[in-house]
Amino acid sequence: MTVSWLRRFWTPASVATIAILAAVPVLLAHSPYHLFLVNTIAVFAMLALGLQLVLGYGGILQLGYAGFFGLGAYTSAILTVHHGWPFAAAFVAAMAVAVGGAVLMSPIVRLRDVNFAMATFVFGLILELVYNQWSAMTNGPIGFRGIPAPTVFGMTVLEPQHYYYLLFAALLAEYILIFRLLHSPFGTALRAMRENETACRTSGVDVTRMKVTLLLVSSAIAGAAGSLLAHMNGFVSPPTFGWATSVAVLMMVVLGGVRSLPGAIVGAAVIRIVVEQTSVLGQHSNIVFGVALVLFMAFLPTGLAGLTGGLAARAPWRA
Amino acid sequence: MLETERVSKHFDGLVAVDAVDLSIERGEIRGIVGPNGAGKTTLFNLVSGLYVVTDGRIRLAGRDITAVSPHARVAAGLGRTFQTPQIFPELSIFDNVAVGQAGTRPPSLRDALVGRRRLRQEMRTSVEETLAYVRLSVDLGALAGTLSFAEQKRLELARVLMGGPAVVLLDEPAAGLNRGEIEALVRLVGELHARGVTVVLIEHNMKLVMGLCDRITVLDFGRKIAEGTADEVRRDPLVVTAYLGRSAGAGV
Repeated sequence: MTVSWLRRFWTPASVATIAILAAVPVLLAHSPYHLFLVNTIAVFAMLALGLQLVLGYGGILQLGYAGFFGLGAYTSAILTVHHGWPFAAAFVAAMAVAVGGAVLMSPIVRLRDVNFAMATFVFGLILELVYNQWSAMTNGPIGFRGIPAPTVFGMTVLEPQHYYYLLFAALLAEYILIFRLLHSPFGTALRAMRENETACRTSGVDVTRMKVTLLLVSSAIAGAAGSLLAHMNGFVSPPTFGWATSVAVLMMVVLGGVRSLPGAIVGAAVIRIVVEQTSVLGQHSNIVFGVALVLFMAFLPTGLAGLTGGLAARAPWRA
Repeated sequence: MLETERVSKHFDGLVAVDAVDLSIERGEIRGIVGPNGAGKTTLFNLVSGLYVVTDGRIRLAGRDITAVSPHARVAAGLGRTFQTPQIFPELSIFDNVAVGQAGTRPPSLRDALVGRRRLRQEMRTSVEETLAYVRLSVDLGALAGTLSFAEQKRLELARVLMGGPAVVLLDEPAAGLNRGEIEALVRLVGELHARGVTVVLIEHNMKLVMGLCDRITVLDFGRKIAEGTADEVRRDPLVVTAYLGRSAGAGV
């Protein structure tokens, strides 16, 4: 097939990768700490993929992404704890509320470049402020406790190795969704938009509508990730959903490689591991991140995916 | 089919298009000519919606589109090409043409999730048909940037035709083409005409304009100075002056 359009997701490479990832809980069965780390990576990989879609492929500088992560987490927490909703319903509601937040934000897509980026950043700050200040709902800076483990198909998912499969299913579903989106007329229009916006508009592509669609889809993803995080940890607090997390997810995308889906996942893994290793630094770990971000943008603008690009192009399954 | 009513465009102090009235009939081939800087391309930018008019109205098939965004004008049946072909050089030829379907079928999330096999078939068929129509036989998977200038022009036109336009605006379609390519262009415009498509073209190649167009509109300094058949326009003293200067007397 000479046409990249509508490429298939299922290849020997993707099946092998999925099989290896599915075996992770077995390999880490005796190491709860590593299992917990892997689960956290999975949640952040969901976020990184979502940001990759809107920022990498859409070229939209969404700097308040963690705010939508928080909308999902708090929605899910409040609905299950205070209103007795089952997990599945709360999970869907978490996505819906995050999308609702994005609808509120959507008028700003008419802003350009830096103005748009600033507006998203401020939107994220406002959400963080709400999580801190609206104590009646969020319990403020103290954090929200006692979020129940989810029940899926009648089974309570309590053990980390079981939770892993829940996260894995969500991540895989998200990956396939984004993959299909990118290899559809929508994805073609996205790439066209990046190359020549004038030609796109005079070809009948509604650029504004596409940008809003990307914001909404990526927010739904952030909402889903937030819900899964809340029920995994049983506890959420505002800093997790603040600007520092937005920057961390941005770094995952840049480090992994802009416009690479596997890159976003690898980026999430590397950043989370570094976060764990530098946690002794506390707030100062931001300095490490800042320097790393600058160095990466200067010396490896294509990210880790750029390093492997040459190899992957020569790989047998691409022939 | 396409009408402008006292359409003007001012850039700060400069009047690029000055109260231009156009009335183009369905199925007509209309030529827009005039010296450099006469406001021809600005007029196209106003009609296609890339510029906002300073004053005046634009109607397409009776509908007022003055305040309609460019993509919605495409959906309403308007297509245009550019002097320098506006393509997506890093996209495949297939993708370049496929983008043009947005006018009739906006890319949606739904298409990405369901019915992809049928969609692929339909899209492939219409892309192949359109490329055959513009006589571009190339590898669908090749990058558009690898095409020659003349091929890029045809590719751009193929993308425009994917939107199923009722009116196409061609900005200097013959510029940069050799004799053989111009002949192919003339045939293609003739085929569009036979299909009932209204064609408006800006062109400096007078022989081409005179031979191809039903009527010709002449712009100078943003104003319409003449309009009529080739013979009428050729004999118009204002046109002769605009093209050749005051002292000249010979035909165009």
